[in-house]
Amino acid sequence: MKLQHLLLSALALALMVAGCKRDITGELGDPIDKRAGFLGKWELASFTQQDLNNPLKQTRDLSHLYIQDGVTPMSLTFNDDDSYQIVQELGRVYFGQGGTWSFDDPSFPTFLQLMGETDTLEYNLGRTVRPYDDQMAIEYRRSCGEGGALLETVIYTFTFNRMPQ
Amino acid sequence: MNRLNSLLLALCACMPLAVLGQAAYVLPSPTAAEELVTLYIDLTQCQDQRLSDMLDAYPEEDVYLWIWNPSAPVAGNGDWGDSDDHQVMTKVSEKLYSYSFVPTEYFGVDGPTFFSRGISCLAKLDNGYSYEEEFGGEAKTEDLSVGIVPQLCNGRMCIFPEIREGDDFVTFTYDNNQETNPDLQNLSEVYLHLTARTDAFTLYTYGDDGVASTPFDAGAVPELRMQPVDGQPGMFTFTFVPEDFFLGTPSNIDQTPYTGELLENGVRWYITKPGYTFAGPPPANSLGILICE
Repeated sequence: MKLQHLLLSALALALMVAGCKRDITGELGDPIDKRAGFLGKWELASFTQQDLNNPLKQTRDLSHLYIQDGVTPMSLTFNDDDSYQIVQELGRVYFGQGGTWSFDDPSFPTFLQLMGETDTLEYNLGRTVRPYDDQMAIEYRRSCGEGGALLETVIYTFTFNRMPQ
Repeated sequence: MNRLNSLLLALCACMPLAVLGQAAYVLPSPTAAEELVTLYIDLTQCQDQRLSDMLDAYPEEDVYLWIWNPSAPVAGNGDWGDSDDHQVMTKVSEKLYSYSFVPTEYFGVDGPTFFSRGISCLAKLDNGYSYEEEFGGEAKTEDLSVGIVPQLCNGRMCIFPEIREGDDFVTFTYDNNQETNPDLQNLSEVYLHLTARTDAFTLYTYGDDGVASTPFDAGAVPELRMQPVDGQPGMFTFTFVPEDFFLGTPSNIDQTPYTGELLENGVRWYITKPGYTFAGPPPANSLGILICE
């Protein structure tokens, strides 16, 4: 009987606390400028490959293919005039030779688009990048087929560190 | 209130039973898709006790496995009224039956399919209609589901990722400690002999000049050397992008260089060492390449 009284008292207390909770008020403020967050120079920090057909969707670190002693890591620079530059000494080329860049939707970006002289490349953004974030990630999600026959295979993730200007 | 206390106590008492009492399970777990596993069905844990009751009355009856997920067996289940003989289960103990198989061979599905679908099965008598009137239903358990905890590759050679296109990074991880060829055991230097195949006849062997009469030793090509894995003696690794790696390699037909065509017939590979020649034909291992137009 003591246990039951204790349980009932605790329940009543919880209801009282919940009932007394203040309403949230105030302004939400301006939305974060995702484009501004992306501007600047970024240096490659890691490169991974995730196997979507592996039983545990295992991820392998393949950074050594791009980052080695004595070699300047790949860097991307996104400018306010929509141009971008790439400096790359090592590893497979995924980001073209430079050109112009944009988001698919500046307010709610999902994809980064890189337009070169001959190709347009489109990659997923790993996360929203705010002006004060020091890291950003670009994902290359690979799949084969369409509709019900779509087979997702691997995700390559390039993680970059923001470089001081 | 006393009734409430009794209910709470009963719930607490039942929780361990719910965890422990599995009607169907596989061992070993984690489970490898290409190694022998054993499926157990414990009739005492089944919700439907009709089959168990039938075996009490007719102990001479055998129990058969009826299975449909991840697929029906390659050799079939048989008919409901007459199970195939190969589906008979082994009686381990009173009301505990087992059946052993290699999943990829038994079901004819690949590892990822086996792991994602798990197993759906039931146990039954040879004739699923036996004693139907006497016991008020068919001679079977309820449908049983078994989730599979996958075991990651720990074989002699593991290839990552499971499914890859020709322009994906592919990593071979080789465990020389598991090498069965005595000539290739305890190696400090390991090389991969790699041959790209754009069709059944056109071969591009990396490092070879494409002329059949010229001897070729993959163990003398530095780019084919596998790298030792730090802190794991006997383990070696090699990462490449097939369509990039073979660029410029002469073909065996007319020595024209490979220019990035689709590798319709995948990549043949085998392990070797400097100066080594196999007594017979070398192993014909194949790295499948997904062709995605």
